[in-house]
Amino acid sequence: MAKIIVVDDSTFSRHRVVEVLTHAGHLAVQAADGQQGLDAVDVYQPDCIILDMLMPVVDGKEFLKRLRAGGSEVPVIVLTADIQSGTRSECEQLGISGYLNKPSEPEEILESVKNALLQTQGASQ
Amino acid sequence: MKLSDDDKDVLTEIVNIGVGRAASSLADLVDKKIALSVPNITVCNLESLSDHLSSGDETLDTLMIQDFQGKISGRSVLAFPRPSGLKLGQILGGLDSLPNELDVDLCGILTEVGNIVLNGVLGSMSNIFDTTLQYSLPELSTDCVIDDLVAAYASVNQQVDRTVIVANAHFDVAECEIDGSLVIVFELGKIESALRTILSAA
Repeated sequence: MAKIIVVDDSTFSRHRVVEVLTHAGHLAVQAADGQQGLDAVDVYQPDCIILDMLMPVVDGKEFLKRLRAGGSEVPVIVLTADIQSGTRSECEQLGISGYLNKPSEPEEILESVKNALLQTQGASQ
Repeated sequence: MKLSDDDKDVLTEIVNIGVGRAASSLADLVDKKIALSVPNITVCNLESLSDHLSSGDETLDTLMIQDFQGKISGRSVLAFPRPSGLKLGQILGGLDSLPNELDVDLCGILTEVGNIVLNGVLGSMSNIFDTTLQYSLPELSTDCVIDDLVAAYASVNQQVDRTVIVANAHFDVAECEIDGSLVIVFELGKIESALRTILSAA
């Protein structure tokens, strides 16, 4: 079981992801924008983060910048409706473990989480 | 301002690819097949805008809006007649019966549908134009009709001759009695320039 923060301003999308994660036995924490997500990272020390891009207050890119600037290496999977190649490249430069487009199938989400967690385990060995 | 036949052909194809991507996202969400029309690209003035945005006898008044800026700029709108919006909310909200109105939860669901579908078409266009666009946060409007929404954007952002390029694609969701339109209004100078770049490289 992994502790995963789901950062998305859409309650609809957030709930869909949380349902997939909890059904698979993970512990999911919800955050409704990037700032709430950063606060949740401090409190919960997650194993993985699933991150939307287009959000109010602090958007996904700014979240990633601040997260990495703070020294965190927690794996981040971007889950966004934004299919632009440029957005994906920017995210990859900021350090992400996966990039999924909405709407994603449950299997895709769980596979990305599994890969992200394996990367972390590999890095720590 | 007048689009050449080549301009129109390229823009139709670009929008067509994007609409296909957007429809695919909507089909995945509702788990139903979507029937699409070929996008109609029209150059018109604001006064005749409503003639090009009609959807049969139905009023398009459930509107998901996302503006975009960059190498190309404009406003995209996913538009449904209210009964279709309610039906979509019922399906995605997992409700047993058709709701009478759009409450906060259903508005949230439709806003996210707009986000996913409109990003499908805009992102696809952005990739073809080899650029990255900035998007506004998606918004849901339920208190005006699409003509007003498009005209309001166009009157602020277009040139004094009040001419706009409108791309309009109609779609039907099988077995659900859901239909709607995907409308994009482009800022003139930028789309002309982007099309020239594509055509000169061809």
